[in-house]
Amino acid sequence: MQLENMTARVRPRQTWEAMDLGFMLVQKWWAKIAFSWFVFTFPIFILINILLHDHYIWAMIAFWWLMPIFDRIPLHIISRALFGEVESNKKNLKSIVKVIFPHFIKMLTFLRFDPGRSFNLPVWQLEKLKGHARAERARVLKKMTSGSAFALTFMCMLIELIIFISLLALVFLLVPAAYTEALADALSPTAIEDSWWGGVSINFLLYITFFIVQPFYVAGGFSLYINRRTQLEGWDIEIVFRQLAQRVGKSSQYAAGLALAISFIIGGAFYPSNESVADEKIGLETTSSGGSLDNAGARKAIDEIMAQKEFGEKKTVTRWRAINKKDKKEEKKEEKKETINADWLSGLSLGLGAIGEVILWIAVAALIVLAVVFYLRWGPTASKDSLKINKKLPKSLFGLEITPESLPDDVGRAALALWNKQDPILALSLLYRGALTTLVHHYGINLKGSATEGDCIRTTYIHKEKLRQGSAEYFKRLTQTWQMAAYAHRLPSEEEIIQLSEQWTPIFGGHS
Amino acid sequence: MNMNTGVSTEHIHAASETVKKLRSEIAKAVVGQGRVIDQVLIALLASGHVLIEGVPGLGKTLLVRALAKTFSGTFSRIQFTPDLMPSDVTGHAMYDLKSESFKIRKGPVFTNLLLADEINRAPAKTQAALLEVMQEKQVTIEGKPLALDPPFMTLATQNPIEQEGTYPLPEAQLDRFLLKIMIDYPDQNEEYKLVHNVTSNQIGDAINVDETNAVVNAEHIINLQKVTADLTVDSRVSEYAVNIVRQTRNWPGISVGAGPRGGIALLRAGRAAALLNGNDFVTPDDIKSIAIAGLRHRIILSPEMEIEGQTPDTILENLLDSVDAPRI
Repeated sequence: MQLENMTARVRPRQTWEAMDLGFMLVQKWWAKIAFSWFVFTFPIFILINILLHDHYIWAMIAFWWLMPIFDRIPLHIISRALFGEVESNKKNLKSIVKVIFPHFIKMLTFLRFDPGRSFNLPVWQLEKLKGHARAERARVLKKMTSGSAFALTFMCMLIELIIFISLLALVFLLVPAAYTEALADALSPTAIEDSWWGGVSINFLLYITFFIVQPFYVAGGFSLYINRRTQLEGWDIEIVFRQLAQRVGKSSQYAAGLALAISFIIGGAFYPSNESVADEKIGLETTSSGGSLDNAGARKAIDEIMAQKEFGEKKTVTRWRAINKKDKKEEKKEEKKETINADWLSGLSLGLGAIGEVILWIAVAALIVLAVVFYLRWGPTASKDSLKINKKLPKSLFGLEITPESLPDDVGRAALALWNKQDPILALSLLYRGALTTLVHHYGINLKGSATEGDCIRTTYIHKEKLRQGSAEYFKRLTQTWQMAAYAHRLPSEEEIIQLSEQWTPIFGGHS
Repeated sequence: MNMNTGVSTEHIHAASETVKKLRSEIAKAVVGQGRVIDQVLIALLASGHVLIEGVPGLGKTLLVRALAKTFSGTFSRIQFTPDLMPSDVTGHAMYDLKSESFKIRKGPVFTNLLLADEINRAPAKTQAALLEVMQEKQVTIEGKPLALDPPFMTLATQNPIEQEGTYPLPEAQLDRFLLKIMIDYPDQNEEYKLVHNVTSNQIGDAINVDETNAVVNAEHIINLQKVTADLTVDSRVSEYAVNIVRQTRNWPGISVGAGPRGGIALLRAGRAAALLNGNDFVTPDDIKSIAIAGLRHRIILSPEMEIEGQTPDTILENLLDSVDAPRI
């Protein structure tokens, strides 16, 4: 890195101004950046779209995911060009291959969503530090600048969105009005999964958007990085001295010696490199060419210079200041009080923090328990039995008692006995009640109080699969006989009721 | 134990068969809309009137023409417009110069089936004239009462869209209709069949009821109405109908519930539904099946429900879900 070769004027800038410098750099080397970016990314774009040809949205997400890798291309070109190493496109391509792969996995996994990526990328790619050293370096550099780097990311996202929508609008503007509706249908998020050209078109528009914005994003972050280093390392001063040294070196050695002596005095703190020490020595030697000057003499000369008006001036400044009326004792008390308060406050905040953490963990545990309960109850593996256990089964329905306990052991036989006792309505009622009890209690079929006989029949047909064979048909026959007796007051024949009673046990019996 | 009334079971079954024939004859002309045909037949059997609501072009006129043809009845249609006068509906007396006396010219209501198209487009005066005819089944012209020939049934239609410039029927008058039938678009197969039928071997798109044959005559219809009225209704079924109607008065979401006429309508229509189902007795299922059609025009929803976009049908479905069906 040769600072004197820098092609841009370096000075400490405001962050926004620094980003502007980055944008200027992209404009200057746009052709080279665009060429390399296109050559590297376009084949990948095509490949991804072919591989994921049924899922164009996923194709675009995959391409977007690789963006940190693609960002290295403009960074590589700009960083070299800034220090005067402008290469041909061919050489650029060759050198890019070397920088594109380091930290590949990290960049695409946990660093993928780093909001300050454009600023951190130069630290990774150009400084090539590792581990703790890199983290320390990044921490120092980030101070005062990370906010701007975040803002840059956010702004670039917005600009990408605007450009994408503008491109889309442009397409619609150029398409004849008769086709705009069809085009809108084809480009809708649901339709692009079905039509390949719709998906590819949208992806291509996004590609163009990235193509336009991404180099500016990287360059903005890079110039922020350069600016930060300029602030920390005084690059601008170093460059000025170097230029000065070059200039005076060509004219008189004496002047150069003087200038470098001054540079030693003033700039020494900023520039403690071996080079400058060497220059200092040269300067001293040059000065001594007029006569020998020992250390004491030199000190004297320096003191004289320092005693001059420009260096040793003393000034009295008068200004208003608020007078603290409290005496020192009170001040001390106050300080102590404040410390106590602060202790108490910090204790309180710690306590609150601990309570908050406990509450948070309880909430997490409750959520997990809820999720498990929901899964067991309504999840795909929820068994009918779990439903049955959890549900409170009705004890009476339509004014009939339908608990298993209220039924005789053998409903069919009990009904026959009632029939023999010349109580046909009670016999039918028992059969019907028994059937309903079995449906509700054994099969867990939900019958509402408002369900008419017809509704009950329909419900049994819906659940036909889980009932014994012929249950639904039997229940329908039973219900119709029951309706006839109840609403038409027509009693079934003896044969009919005997048949119903005998069939009851094989179909609904044996569950209690 | 058998509490059957005067009509014998055989008679009832014969009547039920006739009704089924009527239904199948109408279905020859009116493709699909099975539920609408059933409900219109129920109203005819129960000697009631219906209000049909649906967008134009769903075959309301065709339905009425086909129904009239099945019993060789007369049919007339009045298109209600804002300038329609009561005398245009009922008829009027005019001076005959030849005989030098007033002669009565009977209006279109003197028919068996009257299609009152877009009844809400005529002013209240004309609507009231028709509704009075529906109730009294007679017309008074120049102080002379003239009875309408039975069977008489009005099928009034309403359009749910284009409410501007209409005179909505007041609730008291809506009560006169036995059922309010919602007619909807046919499903895909039915519509295909319908379009095919109407366009094959036919010039223009005139209504064609050639395929429908007369099954009975007007006398028979009156007999059917008598059979319907005589069907057995157990007291528990009547109680069920009354419970439903009473529940509309306490139901949240309904600001004005149905009156006793609602319960009467449910039982009348329930009897007809039972006959249509081939039964000689009414079950709670019959009542439940026509409860929504019989009550949807008799309730007024509360403003909150209206704002929420609820319809009387959904409210009534919930209500029916809460009324216990009768058992022992």
